[in-house]
Amino acid sequence: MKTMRKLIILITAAVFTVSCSSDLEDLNNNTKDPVSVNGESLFVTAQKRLVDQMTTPNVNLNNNRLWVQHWQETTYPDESNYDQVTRSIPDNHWRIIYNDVLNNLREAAKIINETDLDLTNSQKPNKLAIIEILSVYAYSNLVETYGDIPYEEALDIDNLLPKYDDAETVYLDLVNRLDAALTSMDSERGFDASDDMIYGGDVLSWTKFANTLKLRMGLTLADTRPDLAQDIVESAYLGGVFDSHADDASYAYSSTAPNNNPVNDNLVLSGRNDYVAGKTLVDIMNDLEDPRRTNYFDPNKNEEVGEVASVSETGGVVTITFAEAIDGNPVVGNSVYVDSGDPDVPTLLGTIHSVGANSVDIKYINALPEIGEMVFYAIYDGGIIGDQTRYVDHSHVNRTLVVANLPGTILSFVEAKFLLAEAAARNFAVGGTPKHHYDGAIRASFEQWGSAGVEDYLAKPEVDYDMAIASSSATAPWKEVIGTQAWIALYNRTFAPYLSVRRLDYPVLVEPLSKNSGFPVRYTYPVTEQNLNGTNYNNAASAIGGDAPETKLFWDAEYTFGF
Amino acid sequence: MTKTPWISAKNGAKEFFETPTTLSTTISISNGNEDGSYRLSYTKLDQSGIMPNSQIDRHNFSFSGDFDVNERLSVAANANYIKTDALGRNSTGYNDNILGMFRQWWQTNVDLNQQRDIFKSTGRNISWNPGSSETGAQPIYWDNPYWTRYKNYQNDSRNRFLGKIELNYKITDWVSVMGRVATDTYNETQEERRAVGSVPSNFGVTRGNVNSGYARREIRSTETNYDLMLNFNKDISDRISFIGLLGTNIRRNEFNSVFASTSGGLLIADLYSLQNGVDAAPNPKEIAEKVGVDGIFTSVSFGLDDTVYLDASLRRDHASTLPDDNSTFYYPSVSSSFVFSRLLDVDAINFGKFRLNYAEVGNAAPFDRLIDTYQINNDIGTSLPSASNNPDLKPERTKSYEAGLEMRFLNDRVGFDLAYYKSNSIDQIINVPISTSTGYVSKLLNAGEIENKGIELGLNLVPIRMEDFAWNMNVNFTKAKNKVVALPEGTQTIQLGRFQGGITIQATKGEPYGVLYGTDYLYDDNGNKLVDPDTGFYMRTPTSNNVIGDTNPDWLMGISNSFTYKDFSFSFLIDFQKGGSLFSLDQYYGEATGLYPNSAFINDLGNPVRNALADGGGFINEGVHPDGTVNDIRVDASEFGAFGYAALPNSEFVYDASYVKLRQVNLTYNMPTSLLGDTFLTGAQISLTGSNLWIIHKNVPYADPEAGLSSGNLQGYLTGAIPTTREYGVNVKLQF
Repeated sequence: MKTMRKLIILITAAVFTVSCSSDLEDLNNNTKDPVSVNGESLFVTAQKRLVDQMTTPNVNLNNNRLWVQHWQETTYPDESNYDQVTRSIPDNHWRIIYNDVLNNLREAAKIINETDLDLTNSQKPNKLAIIEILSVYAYSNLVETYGDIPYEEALDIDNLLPKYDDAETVYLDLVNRLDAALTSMDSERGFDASDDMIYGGDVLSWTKFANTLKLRMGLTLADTRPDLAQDIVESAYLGGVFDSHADDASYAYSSTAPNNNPVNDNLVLSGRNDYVAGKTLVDIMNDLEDPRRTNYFDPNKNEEVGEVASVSETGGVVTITFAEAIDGNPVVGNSVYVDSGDPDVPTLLGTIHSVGANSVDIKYINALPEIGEMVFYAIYDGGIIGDQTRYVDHSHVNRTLVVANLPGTILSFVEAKFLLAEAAARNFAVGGTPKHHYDGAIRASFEQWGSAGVEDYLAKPEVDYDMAIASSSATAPWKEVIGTQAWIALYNRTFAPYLSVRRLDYPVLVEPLSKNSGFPVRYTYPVTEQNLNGTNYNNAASAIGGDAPETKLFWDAEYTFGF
Repeated sequence: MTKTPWISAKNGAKEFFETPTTLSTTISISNGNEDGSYRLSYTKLDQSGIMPNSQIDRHNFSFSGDFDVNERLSVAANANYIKTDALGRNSTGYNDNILGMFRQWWQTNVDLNQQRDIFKSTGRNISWNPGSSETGAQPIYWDNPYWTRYKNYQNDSRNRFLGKIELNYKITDWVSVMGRVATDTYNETQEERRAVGSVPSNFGVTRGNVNSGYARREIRSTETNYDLMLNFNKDISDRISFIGLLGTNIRRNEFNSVFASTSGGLLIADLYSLQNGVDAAPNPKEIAEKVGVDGIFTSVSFGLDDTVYLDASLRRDHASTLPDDNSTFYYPSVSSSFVFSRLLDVDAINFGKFRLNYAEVGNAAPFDRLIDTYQINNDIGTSLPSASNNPDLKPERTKSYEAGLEMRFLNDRVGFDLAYYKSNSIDQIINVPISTSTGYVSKLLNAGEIENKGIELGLNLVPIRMEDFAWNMNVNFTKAKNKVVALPEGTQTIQLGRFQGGITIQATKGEPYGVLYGTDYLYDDNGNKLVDPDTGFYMRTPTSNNVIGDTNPDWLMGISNSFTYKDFSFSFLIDFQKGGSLFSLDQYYGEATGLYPNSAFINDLGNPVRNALADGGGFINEGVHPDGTVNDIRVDASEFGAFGYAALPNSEFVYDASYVKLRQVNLTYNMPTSLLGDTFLTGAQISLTGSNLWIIHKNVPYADPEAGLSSGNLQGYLTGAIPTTREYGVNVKLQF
């Protein structure tokens, strides 16, 4: 009996030992995730999330390639027909920009401000200014995309119902923030190279980025606030905008997931065939015999010309003579290829300059064929906008654009050149005539894509600035001429051409086959805002003139599309 | 290649499903004498599922025993070991969800047996939907469904142990002390595979697009409870009884898991191991949680003349998961009952009792909900979390009242139990979705107050009771109403769920908990649907914040009848639900893709609606143009876009979830002892059971209204619903 009693006493003692543990709350400590991090690690994340979102063709995230009619969907053309709701596009964009980009930037600035105590050098103000510039980029995109947005009261977890602010007021404040950031920067150290995925720590590049962004924002105001726009644009120009491709704001993706380019993820790794070239872009480029087609699209649609009998060259023009009369109907401007052994990647020879009975002359030589090889020429064919299209029937996105480590670009030299052309056309003082900047922009675009034949292209009557202006029937002919070329050049840039076609209203896009709305000149507000921030949402919706895709934003004065 | 006509397949989607079987065998031995008893049992469960290649095997070993050491001390213990191996649970996402495929867009000319045969004969992923016209081309978008089931299957296995030891010591004849230690612990391994040759999908830790891979989750979970209780049991006088209790309960939970996967595909086909990845493996995801609650409680219970009872209790909990100043909380309960039939002398009334109860229950938060931690990303850098925690959390509380009247009459042949209840959930700890312009997707909040009230009526009737024959009838009726009384400060609604199609389920102040929101038709002042005069299609609200249904049913009822004749008994149960709405994503997509008959009918001109307009096809939407004229525009239905989600608002796919079901039928034969006399058996029983035999009435097309989402407290959304199965069972019970 005694042993039993001892046992009970032992157990009760054990129970009370556990119950008296005073460190109960310590159990709640998360031992696996960090309670504090450095601000730089948040900054790199914000950079990647921003570039990812501006680059991705994911149908749930960013359909601007479809809306500007560079691409067309194959089986499910809902988004080509402006369906924003089914896949919650406005919700997803809003969430990524506010949560993944802006909130991480806010936190990065807060931590860097609190923890970097070395006040003797300029690294800290430079870092804060760079974070500020990227925040302005993200906010300007939100204003350009939605209109009024939560701004003053945004990014505050203690205010779950942030009010919306007037879009123009926000936009002008953003320009002021850019100016303030520029003033606070010097050319010394910014982020360490490994913490700045876009410019590798180069502060000067960030000042050019800020000025180029300011240039774009100024021009966005030009139709409605011309005087103010002129001040902003000219001061941005004097501050120094992008002047070479090396200035491009690009994120260097790597060759393996999860750091691969989102285009690679969605077009290659997904194994899906959701997109083909859009008819609007292909038709315009075909009319212009635009050499960049070779770089924009794959030669997956092609026809045989014949077997090579002989090859000769005179003055940069190569004549390929065939054993028999040529097959098919090759025309000037078609690219010609021979098989490379890899059926997916044929070898480009050059571009047809003239067509004979049993020969073709080609220019812009990339390679020469062997005797006996089969030469074929590429046909470019875009899917009808808004239609269900068959993947095999139309041109595909060029395979160089779907590689895993293709950089993602959020602001470019080419874009800057077109913006300067536009500024010059508006008679703003930006160091040159419209033609000077326009020609420079097109040359830059050809350089960017590695396309040959820019001088011939510039000489075409539809391209030559003065001739094109003269033949345009637009109210402001420069809008059509610059707008069309900018829209072509900004291929694969998603929001950049979307902003360009809304600002310049050219080229005139076509009406999709079964459209859900008129051309969406803005995203509708997220469903989460309708439901979770209802009162402020309703006020904002009525302030901008209704939460519809067709509601023109404060800076968008004109609309030229016929639907 | 031979062309085949486009006709409905001989072996359609139905052929894909298997007949599920369950075989459960239990052997148990028990014995006892005045000093103690024991029970040993073993159960083996073999279950094959409705999906091909799905099964569950379970072994359950259990022992329990008790033993009186002496007059004062007794011990009891039990131990349970359960080993479960499951294979091929159904995927509920979009990409591998075969049910979603069949219900939303399936190509009905595809013969499932052909799909099965080509997979079985080649072992390759060849499907009805090749990515190109080359022979043997890889499928695109979707795998052959048999490949999905036989190659890309998941499996999990769990070893679970439950055990306790309990000592009871009688200090005096009215005071005893009990000490108990109990544990419930399991280890679980979950494995997911994608075989080389699959269509790419999001997989593994990073959810990147890969066409093969292996992922593994290891879980270790333990709950341990320590209890010490002092029990008092004494009659204060001849008329007043007293039972008292003073105790402490200490609970500790630990949960650990590691999730790891390959990246970039598998190097060697059919080898499922973490070292077999093409790219460097991503950082695994580790979770380690500890939760503790220290409780002290007391209760007293008085009885007067076996007629009036009064119970009261109070509990104090100290929880590890709440902020210091809110981590200790108390909750009481009081209940009383009055057996008034003891004071009545009415022959017809056999029993009558009135009860009145009040109870509060407090609850703490889950692990780590007070401060935000950062995320270490697999691609680069660190991030703020998307869900914000809350350092000011309070414990959640439920306060409930119940009043009940239970009576039995006429030799217990008529009886009822009527209850009215009201229960208020206050400060429920919910991850509340918020405007993402705050920088976060959700915030953990004490979410206001939700009131549930209703009546429950149970009715027992014995219409016939004779020596060899009896008929018993039970009716259960429940009518519940809930309402959101208050929301957390600074919010306008709680979004309980958000689904594809822009559908949300919400709790809004003054509304019931669980209202469906989405896009709706536009109506004119006379209630006519508006039709777009340009296109002939219905106009839709541009916004998704319109009420389109309430997921709460009006009432529920179950009626069961049982008949006993000699050694036979027969019973059946019919269940009713009245009201409640649900949204069907299956109809939303399936009508657009042309799966359902209402997308291919003979139109008002007597022609197939799918004919081109020029050939007399198409149809006219009933409604008016905004200027009031009656719509007369014939829309083309020859291509995609005229039906389903492509043409109609969310509200079109909201259905009344009412049903009447024959839920259960049971026939049992008890072998009379006279027949067993000479055998070694002491008892034998055989029964036939049937479950879900007949949906007598419903309004949801092509699906069981109960097949929707049923996780947590959400209902009202139907997607890729698994077909409800009729279950037949044979149960044999032999006693030796």
